[in-house]
Amino acid sequence: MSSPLSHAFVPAALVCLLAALPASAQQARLKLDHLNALAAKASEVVEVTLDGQALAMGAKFLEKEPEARALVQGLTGIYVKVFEFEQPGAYTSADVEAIRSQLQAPGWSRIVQVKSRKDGDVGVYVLSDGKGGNAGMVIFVAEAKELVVVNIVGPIDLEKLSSLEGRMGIPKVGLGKGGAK
Amino acid sequence: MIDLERELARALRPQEAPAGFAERVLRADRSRRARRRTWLAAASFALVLLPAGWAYQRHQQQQRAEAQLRLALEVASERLNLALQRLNPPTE
Repeated sequence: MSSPLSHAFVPAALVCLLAALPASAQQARLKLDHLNALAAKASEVVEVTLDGQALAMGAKFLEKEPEARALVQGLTGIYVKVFEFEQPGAYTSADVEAIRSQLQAPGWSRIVQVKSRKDGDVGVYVLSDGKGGNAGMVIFVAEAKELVVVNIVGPIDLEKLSSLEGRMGIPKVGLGKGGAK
Repeated sequence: MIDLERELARALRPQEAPAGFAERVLRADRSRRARRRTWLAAASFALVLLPAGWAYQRHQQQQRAEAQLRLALEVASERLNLALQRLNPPTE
């Protein structure tokens, strides 16, 4: 009964299925390597790359912050890049466009955008998982002397994330004027 | 036949050990024991040290991961709130 065609089709279908499964995770992770060169020009740099085992390992030790622990439970990656510069113009529009173009891919939607001459460009983007939830998010801040990209891969509750500020046992990270309150 | 017996008797006759032979044997034995003790000490040391080193490295990794996660969540929440605040500036 089984034709040679079905022999070829089944593995091909499996490959397609396996490739499609992590598609949202792949899509939720931005390519930010082009920003690495900015570290040399920056006066302050914060870089965090947490994925897989490191993320699980870190989450295990958030015993005193059960909310934070629960928040990161389903995540597969957190990537943060913060560059603060002494002078404006340290990064180019190409640097910014390389990020924005990735956020124009299907599934991404901008939920917050604030553009001002004084404060620069701030955007919050969410990747839909196609089932009413999200599969990741990006916070993008491009100010005259600061460039910030926070990329969270996996479903994230924005309200809970917002409530964590000042509760992670870390002094205010607020680099630059934008972060100061 | 007699020649053979005579040859055997000559070959097997008791001989005096050369001078200092016993001392050399004892010295060699002492040295062998000392080497064995050194190896045993090194092996025991390694058996204790390797897991301890591994545990220390693991602990360092865990601490680094935890610190990084805390920092990432702090930056993310702070920046998210900043964006929301700019969207809806607080009215005085």
